Amino acid sequence: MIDDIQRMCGAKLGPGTLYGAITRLEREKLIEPLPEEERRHPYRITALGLRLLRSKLTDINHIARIGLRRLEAL
Amino acid sequence: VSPRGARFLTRLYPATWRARYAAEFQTFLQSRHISALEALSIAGFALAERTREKWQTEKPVIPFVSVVAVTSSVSYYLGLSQARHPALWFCWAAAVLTAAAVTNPVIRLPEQNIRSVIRAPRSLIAGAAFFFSVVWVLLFAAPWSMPVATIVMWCSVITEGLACRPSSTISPQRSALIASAMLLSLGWGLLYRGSLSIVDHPLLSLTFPLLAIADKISTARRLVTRSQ
Repeated sequence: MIDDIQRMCGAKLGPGTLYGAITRLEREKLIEPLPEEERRHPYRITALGLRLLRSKLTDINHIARIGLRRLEAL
Repeated sequence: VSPRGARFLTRLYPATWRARYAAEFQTFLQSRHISALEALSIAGFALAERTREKWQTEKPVIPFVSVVAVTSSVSYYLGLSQARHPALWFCWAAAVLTAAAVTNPVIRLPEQNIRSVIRAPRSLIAGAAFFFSVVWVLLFAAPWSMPVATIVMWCSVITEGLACRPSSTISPQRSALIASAMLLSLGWGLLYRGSLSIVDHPLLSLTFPLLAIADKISTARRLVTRSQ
């Protein structure tokens, strides 16, 4: 997960940050744990998590489109 | 990270968190190298998790810390000339009574149990009289009484905090919160008693973070007013 985030955003996530996020997301029922696979502990996004993620990404997309349009107008 | 190091870092988190995540967190830590900065970050997140849990489960600490913080701020604001203001006297009485209520489970007094005191009106009056007397002595009697009393209270809270085990009913975090409040009162005590040379010490100035910020804001405001 850490490597994936580093590839995608270029930011390295520390173990404290990662588990802080996992704890919060699981507490808010946005992710749920799956059975352990060879020392790996996978998590799956829940239906509620999917809805929230879709909404957040739509917002970001909306803001990015407006921002880019205004930048082009300069 | 070695298994021992992973166990140590995991133990920084609260027991409820460990019950859920300890196994996988330790496995995860053991599978990678952790820098000193990352270890510090883990400690920070563990502290945040402990604080979150404490503030949810031990709400009585919040008014206590608030009362002491507000009283210290008011004391500082009023200044030494107004240190014996009646309003301040009542503020400190409230702080001491709240401290007694909160620290009662921490520092077990042999005969004075605050819960039994509250249940029996006679004991309540006696208890209130006792605490008000203590406050009176601290504020108006011997010049060394306030600093000595705060130092003694502070040391006893820290000792209690160090003696606590995670499995015991009183957690070290609760004691740490109380200790920070005691530190505020220690700073105030020294300020009140006019030990200004000690008050200027950088370590003691840490006990007044809010006051320092307020001071900066008022200085900035004065500068703005002057420039206008």
